[in-house]
Amino acid sequence: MSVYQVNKLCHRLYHDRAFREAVKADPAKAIAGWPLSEAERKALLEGDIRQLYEAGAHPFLLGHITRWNLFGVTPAIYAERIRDARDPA
Amino acid sequence: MAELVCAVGVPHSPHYPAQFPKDGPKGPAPSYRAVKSHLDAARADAIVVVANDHFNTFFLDNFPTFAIGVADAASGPNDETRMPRYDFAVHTELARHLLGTGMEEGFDFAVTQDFGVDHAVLVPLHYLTEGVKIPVVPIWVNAFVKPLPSARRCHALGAMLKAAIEGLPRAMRVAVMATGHFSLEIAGPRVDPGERHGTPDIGWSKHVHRRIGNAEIAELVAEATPERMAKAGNIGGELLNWIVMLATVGNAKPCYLADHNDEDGHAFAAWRLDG
Repeated sequence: MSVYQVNKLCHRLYHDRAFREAVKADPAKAIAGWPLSEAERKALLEGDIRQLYEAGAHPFLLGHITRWNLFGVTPAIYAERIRDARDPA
Repeated sequence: MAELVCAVGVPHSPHYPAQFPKDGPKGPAPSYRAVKSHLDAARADAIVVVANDHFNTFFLDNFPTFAIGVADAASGPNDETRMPRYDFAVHTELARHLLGTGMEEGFDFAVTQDFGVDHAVLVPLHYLTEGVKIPVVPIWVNAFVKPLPSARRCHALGAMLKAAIEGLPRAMRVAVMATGHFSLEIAGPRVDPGERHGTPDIGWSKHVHRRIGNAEIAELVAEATPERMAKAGNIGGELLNWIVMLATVGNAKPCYLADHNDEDGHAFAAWRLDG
């Protein structure tokens, strides 16, 4: 399991409008084809920012999620969840 | 021979251009104008910009520690920064010379021949030039993907760049520009409540500012460990861009250094090096 795919997915959200729109419309369907672990997929769909960060997702990429409130994560929710997170080892 | 005529250091926040007009009285605009006056007076023929990419030019599939752009032209911003779009010339001869000298001196740059640049390069150029008409050489430093290059290595890179610039057999005037913050957290655990950013260690930023004002560069290089910079925020490593630039000014104190304030973990500084 590597958090690389989560980082790559967040990068794609920022630079690929069509993918971003697909995630807005149906998040589970849009990421169905991505080679994520089940834990990563669940964390993304639940907007579990803390877990994704602690698994090593880069904050500059993870933070892109809030630009369009993707996966139900508003800036306020993001701030609340990230402030509880610990830095990955 | 080419001459290193000016060095400047400024922040590069992507929020500035939409919020603070270049000629306005608010925010960073007056400090950018003060730095610009020194850069203008130096009449540079080319600007070497030392900045960090934010996953807009490069990604984790191949993220360079040090990279240089060698092309005829480039453009940007290649991110979502709300600011004018610029197509600008790259000073190809200087870029090739810096690349070649680097190779001889043990600095093996990654090279891109086809690239856009993000806010870290273009926000400063937006404020400090008239439409980015001066040819640019972009140099990227990895400031936020662990492991970072050491401050010592970045200082050595700056010293190499200075010697390389002064070794270019062509009469031209070159400026060096570093961009970035000393304390800033973006989208990480140290953000302020309800915010997307925070300034976790304003004391460190003030300390760095004082070191720069006193030209205590060797001391700063010794202090700027990965742990120390990380405590100042997840992009505290942008200090490394400054350290590259600071190696080009020797023991000179800045001719301009904006007062530090308690809100912003950054500095505005300029050095005239042409006597």
